[in-house]
Amino acid sequence: MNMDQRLTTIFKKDAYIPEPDLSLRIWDTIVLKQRRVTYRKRFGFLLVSIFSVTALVPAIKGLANDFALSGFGKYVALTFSGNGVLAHSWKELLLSMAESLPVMSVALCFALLVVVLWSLKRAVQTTISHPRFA
Amino acid sequence: MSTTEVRECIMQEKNDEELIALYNEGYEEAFKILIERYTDSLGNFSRRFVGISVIPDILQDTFIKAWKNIKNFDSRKASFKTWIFTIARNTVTDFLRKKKSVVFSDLERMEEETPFSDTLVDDAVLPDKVLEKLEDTLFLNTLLDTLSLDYRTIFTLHYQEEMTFEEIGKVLNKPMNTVKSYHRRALLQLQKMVTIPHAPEEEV
Repeated sequence: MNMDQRLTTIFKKDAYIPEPDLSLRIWDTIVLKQRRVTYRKRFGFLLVSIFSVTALVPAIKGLANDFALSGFGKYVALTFSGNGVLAHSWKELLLSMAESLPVMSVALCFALLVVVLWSLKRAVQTTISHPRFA
Repeated sequence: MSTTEVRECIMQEKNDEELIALYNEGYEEAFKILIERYTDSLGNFSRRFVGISVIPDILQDTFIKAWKNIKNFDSRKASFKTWIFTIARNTVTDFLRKKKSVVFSDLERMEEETPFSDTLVDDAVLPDKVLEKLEDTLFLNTLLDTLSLDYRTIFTLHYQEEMTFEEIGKVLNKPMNTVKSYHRRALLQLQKMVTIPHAPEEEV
């Protein structure tokens, strides 16, 4: 037996024997930690969803109001009136429609909608990616 | 037998990298298998540095760190075994630092090894008489306690875990030749301590 083999035998002779349930206890600790992380994430995402839905309601009301005030609806009605306006001065009509569009309100509603969908998606993902921990 | 138990039985056959892939796909039990697979060897490794009563805490910290960072594990860079032993070594070092049983300068000194040592050939061989004395476990453990962290790590990983010098190099983040020269020095130091029991420890 050469030196390497002898030293290997010597080192392995005095092996550490862990408590029988040590692996299981470590695993249980990890499961507990993961469960906490999952709960926290899900709660956070649901909270974001609720806040953004709450903000979305007045934002939609504001958007409807802005549309009514801007005259955008009238331009749309004119487009479908069928009296040849669209054919003769479509450029002017499109420009007026673009100008009357309440851009800020539209952007705000769109952004809130994206946040609602994203946070709901993440909340569901967090639940299904670790079903055991959820 | 439940579905989970059947799945765990199937997973026992998988290698470490396959288990990590399964864990990342959502099969949580895969990580449990990894814990079961490495508890003994990491425990054996840790006991060379810390007291037996602390080992469960060290192992728990090691596995929690591994679990938290499993997404960063890259099997192309290192094997899972190398990776988990690196985490275990860092955990042990952190623990010893917190306990202040190792001063920072001691660790830093190991980092500043002279480059010429990298070229040394691993030719140190312990005589039979020395090996016979080392067979006394208590005596061996006492001697190992006097060695530096890196030397102890090399001995433990090479002889206990049968890791190659290249793998140990990855754990210690040092070139293979440096590991070989450390190993050679450690053997010489061990021989010196066995043959002259009261000789002062060689400066590392």
